Amino acid sequence: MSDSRKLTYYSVEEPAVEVSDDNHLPEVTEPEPANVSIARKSGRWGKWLAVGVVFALSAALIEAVLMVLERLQQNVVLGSLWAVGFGVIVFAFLSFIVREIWLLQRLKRRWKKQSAEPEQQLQLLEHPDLEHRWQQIKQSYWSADEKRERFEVDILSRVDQQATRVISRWSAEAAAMVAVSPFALLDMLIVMWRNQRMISRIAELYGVKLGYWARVRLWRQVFANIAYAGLSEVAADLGAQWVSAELLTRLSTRAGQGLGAGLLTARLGYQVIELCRPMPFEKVKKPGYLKLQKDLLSQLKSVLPFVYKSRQTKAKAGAEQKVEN
Amino acid sequence: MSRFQKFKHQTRDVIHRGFDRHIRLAVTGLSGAGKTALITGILEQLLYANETQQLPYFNVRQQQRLNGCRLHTSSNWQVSRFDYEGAIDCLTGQAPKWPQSTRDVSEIRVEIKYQPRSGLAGRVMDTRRLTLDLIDYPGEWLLDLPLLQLSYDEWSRQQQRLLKAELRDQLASGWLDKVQTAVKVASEEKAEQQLRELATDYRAFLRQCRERKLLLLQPGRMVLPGELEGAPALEFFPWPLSEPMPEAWAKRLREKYRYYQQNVITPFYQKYFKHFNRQVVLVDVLQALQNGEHHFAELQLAINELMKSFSYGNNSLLKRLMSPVIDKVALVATKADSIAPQNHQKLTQLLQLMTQKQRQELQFDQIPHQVFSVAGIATSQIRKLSDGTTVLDGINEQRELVRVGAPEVPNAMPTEADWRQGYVYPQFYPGFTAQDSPLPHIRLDQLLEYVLGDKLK
Repeated sequence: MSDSRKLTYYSVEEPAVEVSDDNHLPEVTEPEPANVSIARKSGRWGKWLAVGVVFALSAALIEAVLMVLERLQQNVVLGSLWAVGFGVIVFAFLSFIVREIWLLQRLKRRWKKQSAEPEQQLQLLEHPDLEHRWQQIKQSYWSADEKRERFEVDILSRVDQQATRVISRWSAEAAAMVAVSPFALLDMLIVMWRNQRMISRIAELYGVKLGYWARVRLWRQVFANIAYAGLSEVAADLGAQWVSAELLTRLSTRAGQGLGAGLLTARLGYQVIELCRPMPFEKVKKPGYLKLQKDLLSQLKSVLPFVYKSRQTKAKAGAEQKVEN
Repeated sequence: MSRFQKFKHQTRDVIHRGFDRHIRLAVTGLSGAGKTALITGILEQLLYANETQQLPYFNVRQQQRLNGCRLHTSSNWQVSRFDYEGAIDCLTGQAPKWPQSTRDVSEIRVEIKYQPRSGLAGRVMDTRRLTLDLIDYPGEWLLDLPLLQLSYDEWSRQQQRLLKAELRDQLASGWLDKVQTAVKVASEEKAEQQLRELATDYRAFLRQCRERKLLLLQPGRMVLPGELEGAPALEFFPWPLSEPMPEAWAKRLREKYRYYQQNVITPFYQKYFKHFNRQVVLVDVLQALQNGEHHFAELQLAINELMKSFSYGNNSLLKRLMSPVIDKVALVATKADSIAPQNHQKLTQLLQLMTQKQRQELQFDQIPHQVFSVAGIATSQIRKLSDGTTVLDGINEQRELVRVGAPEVPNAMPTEADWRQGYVYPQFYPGFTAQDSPLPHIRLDQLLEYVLGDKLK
């Protein structure tokens, strides 16, 4: 019995931290969700183009330096003005590039981080109030799974709620604007502009800052996801649209256009939520379209004189149908 | 007046039960499994639910729909009230200690007032009530329950098998010798006297078993007689020998056994165990691991026997005794505060393995059940040393602060080599002050949500 187990006692004075942040489970690296990784092949032409641009840029740079030197020899004041001007431009350009790369990296990292520890994700969210709340509720005895669940249900769902509110507000606005806009081109511009604003707003809620390229990537991903939407999602959407099929027959053309624009905006918004969310929806239900329609309609009602077709036209349509039968 | 009040209470109970607004929670566990601590913990968390952030899993609280909970008079006026205040005093007083082991039945009722959200009630009512009855009783008496289904001869055969087990055969040898010598001089006239003496010896043997922490001790009233101290109802014992009983004894032993079944066990269950509709089975897995292989096997056997009596098939006697049946079972490994959080999962797994057979039956009968690892009152803090070792800070028996390296838990049934090494777990004592209310717990919120959550929607 020499090898029997015994309790090991430690000195109480030894410094020890309260356990709360880490569990010793091996980190599971889940495969990236399929809908996020749609790889793009950069063509041969792109590569040549990049080489050309690099050459041209370096030539321009050398040219500029030479020019500045020449001017300096002619006139010191004018030369230094040129130098400062070029310097500022180059600096701004470089910092823009660095910032863009950094932001894009952050977005990509976010897509990869979809299975990281709640504590890390919480920092990425950049919501001090939620951090405080997490400190309040978290229990030292939780396992990794429990932590994940609580993080999603108690913390992330709040951000989701905010994002859903944003979506419903912006899509309602888009719907109203499209409904009252006089021509089609303006419709398109409005939808683009509203969507752009909404996406930045949602991304911000989830702690994702968007630069130009990050934005482009996000847009591309959003459209790719909508194009490659899974069967279930299509079914869910169809369901939502079926609900409205009966409604659409009653809507006036204007209201119908508005509703369509609103729904599209909302759809984009939900995609952005999924892309910016630090973890996929597990215990929390995905936000849906049902309540949204109500919001959209009430918004439309407030801006349009008549949302529904007038009773007369409807009655006429009904009579025509009867005749056909 | 008081009779009218009592009538009023009872009518309200019936109505509540009819509307499924009444939960009688069977906290089932052998002695030392931590029933009292768990009940105290549950009461503590419920009563202070709105003042604490410790219940994230308890949805009614988390969604801020809980108006409050308060203690209420039970409609069963013959049963003493569970001494919740006493237990809290014990835990938070001048010299904090665990509440004494339970010696008699007590009951307590909590009324939970909440705002319903779903269903018809959610539309019609602002607030709703749910009554929760918690019953505490000595775990020793629980083991009488399986006896209801056994005849004297069946019971004797079971005990004969049990008496052959290691440790038990040592403890029983004295009593067995006495039985063997007494058999030779068995006679009609002296039967009463002889049986009484042998029963006293059997009782002494049971007490010895208890000191050695054996668990399956029947009949339970011999270990803890309650009001039956010295009563002739206890003058019997299982027949331990393979040879048949002398005629003079057989008649009396069977008669006493039947009397015990009908007049001690049956009223006990009809009085207290009737109308249970939810069950929490407490199992002190860690203690059994520490006590070694035989205790572990005996614990498994005891749970098996126990849950058989609570089973939901047609043959279950209890189902006939109490018309409402248990529709949800939580299997709980207690004292999770003496291991590190990383081991909670293993503890749950181990309990799952131990109760595999019962869980299969529950599965078959489609009774929802789930396994938890819980501490009704958590007495340790989890810390981490600079080198990464997880340690538990707690208070030991001498009321000093100690720091113990968190022991491991096997996640499969221990092998022989494991048993040779043995297991040892720290035993912490409460060191709370009155300001610590509500007392810390481990995973009680999940247990509460599981047991009550569906009634609080």
